[in-house]
Amino acid sequence: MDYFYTLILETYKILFLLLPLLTAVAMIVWLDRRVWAFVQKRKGPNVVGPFGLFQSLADALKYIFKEIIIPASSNKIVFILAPITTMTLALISWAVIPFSEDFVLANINVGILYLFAISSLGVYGIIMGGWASNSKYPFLGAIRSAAQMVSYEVSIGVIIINVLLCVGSLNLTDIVLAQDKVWFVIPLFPMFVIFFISALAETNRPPFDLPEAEAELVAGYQTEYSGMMYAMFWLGEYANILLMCAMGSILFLGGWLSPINIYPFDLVPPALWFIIKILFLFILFALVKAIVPRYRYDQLMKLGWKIFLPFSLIWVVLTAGFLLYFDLLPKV
Amino acid sequence: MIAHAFFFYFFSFIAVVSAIMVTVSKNTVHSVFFLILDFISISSLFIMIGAEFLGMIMLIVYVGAVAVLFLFVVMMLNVAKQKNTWFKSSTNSAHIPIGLLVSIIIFFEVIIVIGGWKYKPELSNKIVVSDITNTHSIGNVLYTDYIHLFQLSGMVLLVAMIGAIVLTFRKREGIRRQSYFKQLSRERNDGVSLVNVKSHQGVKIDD
Amino acid sequence: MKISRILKTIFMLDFLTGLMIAIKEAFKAKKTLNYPFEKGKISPRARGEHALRRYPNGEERCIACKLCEAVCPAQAITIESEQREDGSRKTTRYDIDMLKCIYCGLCEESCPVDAIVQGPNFEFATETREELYYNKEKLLENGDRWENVLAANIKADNPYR
Repeated sequence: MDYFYTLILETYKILFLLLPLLTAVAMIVWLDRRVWAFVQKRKGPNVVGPFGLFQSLADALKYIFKEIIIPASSNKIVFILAPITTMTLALISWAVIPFSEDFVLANINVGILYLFAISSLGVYGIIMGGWASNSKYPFLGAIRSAAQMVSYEVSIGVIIINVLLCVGSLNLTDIVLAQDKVWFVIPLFPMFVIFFISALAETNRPPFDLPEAEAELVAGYQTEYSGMMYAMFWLGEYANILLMCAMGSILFLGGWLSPINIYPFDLVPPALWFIIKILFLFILFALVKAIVPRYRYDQLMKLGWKIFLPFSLIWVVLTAGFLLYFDLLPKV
Repeated sequence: MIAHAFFFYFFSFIAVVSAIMVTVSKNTVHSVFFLILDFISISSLFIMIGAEFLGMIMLIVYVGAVAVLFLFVVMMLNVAKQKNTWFKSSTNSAHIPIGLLVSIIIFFEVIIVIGGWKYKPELSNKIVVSDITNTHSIGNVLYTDYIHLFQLSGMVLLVAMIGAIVLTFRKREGIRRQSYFKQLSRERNDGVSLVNVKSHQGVKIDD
Repeated sequence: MKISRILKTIFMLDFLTGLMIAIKEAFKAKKTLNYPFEKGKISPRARGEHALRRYPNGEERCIACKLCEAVCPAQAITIESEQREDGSRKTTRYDIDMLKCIYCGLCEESCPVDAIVQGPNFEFATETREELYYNKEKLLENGDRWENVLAANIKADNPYR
């Protein structure tokens, strides 16, 4: 009986996290399109609901009623599995994200490794989709994204090591609490910039959206998908982008901590600070999409392996040396 | 406790079945997918026995990097629809005795390892339960007692990597490469100069 | 390479300048019209949906000369005619296949009595193809509905004919 009670409680918690998250993903798509339009001096979606806020819901409704087309020569099981994988992986990683000190679904010891592992699994949805479509463009998109995501994961891993050196724990709550005095964005600013750019590459956002480059590959791995299966790719992609923003704000922008801990600011609930930080990073994502042209593939690889990786490795040595010299290493 | 046992058997069942499917599956890409499933269920088993660091590293290294490259290679080679005729053709079945021999050896090795662990309790009792996380305890052992072995294994990987690069590296002559540092460093004065031209005289362009 | 250029590359100053411009432009007035609610100005010569006009007394203008049918490059127009009791020749059938039509405006040019015209309406999308096979009733109805605008447009364009 006790066991069932726990089960129901956990399910309730998961739903309490997931439903707002999915709504947030829909809203964030609207925000993305709106920011993009504003930079290009357009109005963007503004008809459905107030300010066009329900545009994504209308789109989702449209996708639900569209026919799902499965190519005859595709590998059907893998083809159907791919969008489900993308969506699931994008959602389960939110289990460890701490919204405030006591509001976290699973406060596990190796939270940051869990996030890193799940985001490195994200490539499978794309590869499976591209391979199972049994078509040229999706396959090229899948190959591209596999190489790209593996390359940029390496530099994200090294950046995480930088942060871990300053914290001394893999727990996300500990990482946030370690930024009580100063956010890591100040001492580790170059790492923040590299993290941001790698996150763009990791989530296949412009200027690194080569796996779905519409000019060359039509829509890359999504070419053969339609209806709800396409929508699941789309939701998963944006959930991943939100996740990367959350990861950036936890690692560098002090998670739920308020910028200054004095009277008017400490009234704001911590979770709201966290959401504001995520939104700030997301608007940066959207702005970058609007202003930067797409990279060429060799430039992308060169940037990842020849600039980011050596630079972040050097910064690990510098951070470690600095902490060791001034005896600032975290006590275990 | 029942739930724990249930999940243990669930994940072990998936691990064993997918391990078998890796070898039996006719489609090579499916084999790799089963391999990934195997890795994931094994890392879940790691997490269930409390070794969450190992489980996560398993996911990151094997699933996130190694299996992606496997998949990459398998897809590129285009051997997806290979015929599985291992037990049918007479030439291939000649390899079966060797395979059996190797598997018997491995089987006895596993028995020896597990037996040593079972019948020498002092080996397994080395694990001290304390309040430090297993990330810390692995770090404490890996970077103190076993630092030389650790560095050595890193060296082995480095040599393998350099070997692969040397083998595939070829210098191509006579191709023009783009250098965007050079392109970016071009100033306006390098390319454009304003000349005051008298009429009916034209400009002399040197070079 | 100049030092300033190297510093510019390392600190990504070009990128930051672009970002600043983007943010600045995002808050300026938008250039686009809020389409279904706001519409741009349309030239009197705009070639939109077809219409058959009438004289002020209600008589059809079309005299079934079939010049438009002859000139139509897409062969979208079909006309059949007969003589009425009062001796005038009128159409019994005037069909335009709007799916074939390329909106070139030659029918309008060729018409000696300004009967077939292309109006300013460009929003006549339908849900089925059948609805786009216009017949005489539909065209005359269009003409009645848009008469004010059509007359004004023809008048405005007259000096340039």
